[in-house]
Amino acid sequence: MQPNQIAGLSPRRISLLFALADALFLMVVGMASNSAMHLIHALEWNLALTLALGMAAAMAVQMLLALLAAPVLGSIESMVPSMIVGMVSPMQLCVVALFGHHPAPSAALLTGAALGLITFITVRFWGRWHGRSLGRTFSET
Amino acid sequence: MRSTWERRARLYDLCEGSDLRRGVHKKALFGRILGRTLFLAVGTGIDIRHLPVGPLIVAIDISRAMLEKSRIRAEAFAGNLHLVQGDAMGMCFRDGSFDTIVTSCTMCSVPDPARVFKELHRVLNPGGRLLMFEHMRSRNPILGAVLDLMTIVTRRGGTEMNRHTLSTAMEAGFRVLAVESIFLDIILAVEAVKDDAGGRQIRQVVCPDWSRPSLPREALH
Repeated sequence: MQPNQIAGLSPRRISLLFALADALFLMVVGMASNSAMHLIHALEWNLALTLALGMAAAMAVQMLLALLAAPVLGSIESMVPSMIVGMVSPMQLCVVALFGHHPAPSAALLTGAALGLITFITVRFWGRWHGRSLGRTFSET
Repeated sequence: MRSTWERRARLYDLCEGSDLRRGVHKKALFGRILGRTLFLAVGTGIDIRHLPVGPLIVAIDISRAMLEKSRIRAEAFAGNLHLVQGDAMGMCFRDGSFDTIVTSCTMCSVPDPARVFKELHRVLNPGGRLLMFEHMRSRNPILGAVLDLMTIVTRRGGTEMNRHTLSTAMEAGFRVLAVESIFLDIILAVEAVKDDAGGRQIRQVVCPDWSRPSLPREALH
């Protein structure tokens, strides 16, 4: 199935542009989620409360960003991977705090971006592998 | 059901703005349309531009508001397209009326997908093709759980994100010929054929005259 050309760009180039946009979007979600968690962590409440509130705040930020990105990136394409980032990033900061480290805001941003990128690569790799597997399972000719 | 879609018609195109990403894949899938075609749940007609101009296409939707919006796009379409108001769970077409059936993000929104697939099986010719551009639950446990979570919210708007659409189609008597991953194993382009060995024809219904004002008679026979 060969997608037709659109807006003067080849399907391959469109796919590449969307992959870059996805990666960038997930990095932004990671940074924003970690920032939300970092702000709540700075209040120095107990860990359980910090985790609960931080996760809620990170998820709210993630959902807002995903809704904003949906008209361009696609609703499912933006919401599903970013939800994983929004859930994992606050937990990651809490685990770091459990070990007695308190990352600076810049470090929180950096780890958020890294998590977004790792999620993008993992999801993409799994998607490629699964796409081929689906194609093999249901091949007519 | 109908009132939900009457309300959603106002903002539907905003939610479906991702056509730039999915459009090329839809065009490729719909390029396989052959013969008399049923387009199930045409909505606001956002997919009309991806349809081929040659075949006779009957596009149905349950919502009059959606059809009103799609009329503008249908009029701009160079092909042979007829809009009809109708419910996918009880369509007013004779058995074997169509050679191809097309769905686009429909099965997440119908109350009973198994019943809809049985209806599609009924109105499709033996050997006819079912072309689906649908999203469904991922087989990956993490992604599947995310879709389950999303469904808690989206269900209020009439959309289920975690349906097993492919297996429901096979249970209804469709044999899957090809599946292309559009986004992971969540959004898929599926080509299936009516398999006479499976499925069951549930009933024979004929359109009342009021529901097909501009539809040529040959489309229903």
